[in-house]
Amino acid sequence: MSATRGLFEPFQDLENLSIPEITDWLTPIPPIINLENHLANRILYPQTLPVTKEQLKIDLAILRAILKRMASSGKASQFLDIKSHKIIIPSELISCIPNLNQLMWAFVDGLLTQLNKTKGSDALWLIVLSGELNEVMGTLLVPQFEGMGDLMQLGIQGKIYKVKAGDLTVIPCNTDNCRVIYKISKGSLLGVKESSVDLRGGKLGIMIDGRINS
Amino acid sequence: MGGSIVNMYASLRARIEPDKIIRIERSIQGQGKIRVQVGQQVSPAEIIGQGTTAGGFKKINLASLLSVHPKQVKNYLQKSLGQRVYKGEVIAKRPKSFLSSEKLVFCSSDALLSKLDDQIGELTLNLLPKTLDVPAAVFGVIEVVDDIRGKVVIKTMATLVNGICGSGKLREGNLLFFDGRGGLLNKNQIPPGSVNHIVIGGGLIYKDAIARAISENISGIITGGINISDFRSIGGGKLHFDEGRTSDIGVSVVVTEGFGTLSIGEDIYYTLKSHENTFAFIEGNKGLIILPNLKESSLETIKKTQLPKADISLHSPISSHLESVEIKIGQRARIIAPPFMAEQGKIIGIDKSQTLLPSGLRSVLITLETTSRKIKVSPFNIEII
Repeated sequence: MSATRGLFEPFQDLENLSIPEITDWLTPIPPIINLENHLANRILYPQTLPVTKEQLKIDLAILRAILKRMASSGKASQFLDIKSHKIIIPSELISCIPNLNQLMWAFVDGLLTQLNKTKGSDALWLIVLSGELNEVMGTLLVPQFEGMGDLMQLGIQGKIYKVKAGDLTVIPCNTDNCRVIYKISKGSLLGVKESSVDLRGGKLGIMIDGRINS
Repeated sequence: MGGSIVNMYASLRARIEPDKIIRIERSIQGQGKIRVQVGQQVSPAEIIGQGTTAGGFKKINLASLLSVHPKQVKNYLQKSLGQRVYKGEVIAKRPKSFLSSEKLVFCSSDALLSKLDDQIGELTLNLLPKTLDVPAAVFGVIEVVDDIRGKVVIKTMATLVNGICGSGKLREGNLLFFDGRGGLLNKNQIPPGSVNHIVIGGGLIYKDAIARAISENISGIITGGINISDFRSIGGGKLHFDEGRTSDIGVSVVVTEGFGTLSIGEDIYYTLKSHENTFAFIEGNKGLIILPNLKESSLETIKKTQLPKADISLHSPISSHLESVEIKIGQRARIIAPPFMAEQGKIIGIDKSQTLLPSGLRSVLITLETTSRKIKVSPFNIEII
């Protein structure tokens, strides 16, 4: 067990984060002075892990904020490969967050909010866990819904799933090749309302980011 | 935390380094002369040099102080213009009258009566240069004499106390305790008689107390915690924990635990307590407190110990790279994350299985026995001390 790897150790720029960048991801917002001191202590002692749910929420907000800052300044290439559409999560961070889903959504939030969701080409991302051996954890789908009442229907491995606009959904599919058949009432995925696509699965499976304004 | 439970490691932080042979630098102020030579042994009270401070000038409104018309001030002067006056001497005197008591104006420092403006009744004093003796302050051996810069390097023995961060250049003074390990220090609580002292603050120091410390000419403040916004304001707006950072706002501050309200750790507090009212150095920029060994017997070890010649940087700065050591029963540790941050104790147990924390993380837990209770804590949230 390493004593020197923590959630924030891969990040150099924590000191320059502003409190509003963090509070953007927090509801309710804790007292600002506590938040400032929490961040400063995380810089001092990056190896520490959150004990309470509140501390975890703040850590995840800091993670989203630092990733967003890096992505918007073009410094997130170690986590976001735009050319090959990969989100790369360092494997050592798995032990710092209770589950892979929480970590994955923090990366998605932080890295993809800068991208133009309306472009069909940004609708599909491979989630890769980097380490000694890179491991594909699954695929993120970002459908384009027109309004909050919209619905997407998916068929994966013989099962039917319904995803509402605004939802974040994870559908298990732990195989190399997941055939996804989809249909959207109002909106599109990969530029069309209805189609099928073969995607890489993994420990996470198929993730759908149905948020409209993300 | 995932992974097999074989060996557990934590960072090792050297908070207190007792009786280390180090080099310290002593400087004389302004123009002056160094009185010691390389190789010479010195004791704390020994004068190693004499410096002279620049004079400057001072204006005193005598008309106001004597309650007389400006044109009448010259009648009450006790010395002529151009004459020298000494600290404590009477400059002007208005005798007792039927309507008022005697009024005396004293000189606060050695000076020359320079000019009297009888339009406003103001006297200008040219302050005389002051000679200041610089004592060695430590037992030691002179290693370097730099006559040009007015500096002397002394090899000495001292206990080093390493804080987490700080601000301010090397200063000195006697250690003055305030209110226990966890007290809150605001501007109204700066203890009287703190001038030129190093004040041990407690669990939190407020910005207004730092401002008061500067105006009261306090040399330094040691605190367990500080709010990061206040630390940024004294640290030049940035949080740098790397080498080479310097800032100074007129007082040196060393933070021993972290940010927020955090009691000074027992290890540091009781080490400082054992040096209460004795002379110490504080260098906030290095997060360092130097407690000289005031036993003459230390000279034997000082003389025998050779320091590397290249290590002329006096003492090492705050290290951000800590060594990892295996966690073992019996070690002392400090907690570095809430809850219970800054508490210290002895490791008396290491669980064999993982526990689910309220955050949802799983971790093997360490049992830490403090002076008042037993605390279960993740090994990631401790440092071995």
